[in-house]
Amino acid sequence: MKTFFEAHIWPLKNKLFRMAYLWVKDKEVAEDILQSVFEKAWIREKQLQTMENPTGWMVRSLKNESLQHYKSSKRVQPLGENEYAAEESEEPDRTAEIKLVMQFLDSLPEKHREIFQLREMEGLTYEEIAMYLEISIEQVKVNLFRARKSLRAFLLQVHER
Amino acid sequence: MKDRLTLLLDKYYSGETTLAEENEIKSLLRKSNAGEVEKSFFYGIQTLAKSEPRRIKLPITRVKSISWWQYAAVVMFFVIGGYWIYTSEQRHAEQEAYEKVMQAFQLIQNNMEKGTNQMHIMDDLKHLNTTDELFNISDQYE
Repeated sequence: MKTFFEAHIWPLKNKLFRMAYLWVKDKEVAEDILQSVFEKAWIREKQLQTMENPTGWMVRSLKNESLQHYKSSKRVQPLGENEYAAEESEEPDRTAEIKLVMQFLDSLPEKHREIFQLREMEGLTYEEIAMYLEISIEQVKVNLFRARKSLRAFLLQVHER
Repeated sequence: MKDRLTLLLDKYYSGETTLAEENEIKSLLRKSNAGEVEKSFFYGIQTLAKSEPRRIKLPITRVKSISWWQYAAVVMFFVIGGYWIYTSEQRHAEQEAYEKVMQAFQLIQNNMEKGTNQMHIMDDLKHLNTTDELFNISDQYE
C-alpha cells in the first residue's frame, strides 16, 4: 500500500521540476531545489495529509527555495543558446523553438508566466491552476487572458522580423 | 481547416478556449502550412513539457519516527506471547504430573488386586469362626 507521500506528493515531481526549471533556468539547480522540497515534505507528511491543499504548499515551498537560491547565488542565469543545445541534445531541432518560448516567458510578469506555463505545458484546468497557485479561478482567467494577449503581440513581432 | 484554425486561435487569444480546443489548435497547426510562428512556439512548448528530472529520489532512506503506540503494540505482543508460552508449559507440566500420578495409582490398584486375589483362599475358611475351628483343634486331643 502506498503512503500519502507516494500517492499524492511524489506524482507532482515532473510538474514541479518544470516550474522550478523555469524559475531558476538551470536543470541541475532545479533538481536540487526540488529534492530539498521533497525531503521537507517527507518529514511533514502527517501535516500535509491534514492540509486542505498540500499541492499549494508544495508549490509555495518550491518558490521559496528558488528565491533562496537567487539570494544566495545573487544572479539570474538566462539560458544561452549553447545551453539549450546541450540540454536538449536529444531533440536538436527544437533549440530555436525552446529559445522562442523562453524569451516570451521571460517577458511576462511572474504571475502571468506561472499561469501560462501551468496551462500550456501542464494542461491544467482553471481549477487546478487555482489550487496550485492558491488564487481564485477568476484571477486565473484574467491573468491567462493577459498572458495570451502578450503572446499575440510577441508572435506578431517575431513574424515581422 | 484554415477557417477552423483561425476561429480557434481568435478564441484562444481571448482566453475562451477549452483544453480540448487548445489541443485541437496544436493538432491543426501541425497539419497546416500557415501559422509558422505559432507552430514554432507550440513545438517549443511541447519540447519543454517533456523535461523531466533525472536525479530526484524518493526520500525513503530517512527513517521515520516510530509512534509510541507502535512500541506499545510490540511490547504487548511479546508480553502476551511470553505469557501464553509460560502457561502452555505449565499446563503441559501439570498434565505430565497428573499422568504420572494416575500411573502410580494404577500400579497400586493392580498390586492390590493381586493381593486381593491371593486372599480369596481365605474365602474357604470364612464359615469357621473360632480359633479351634480355624486351626482344627478338637477335643480329641484333650
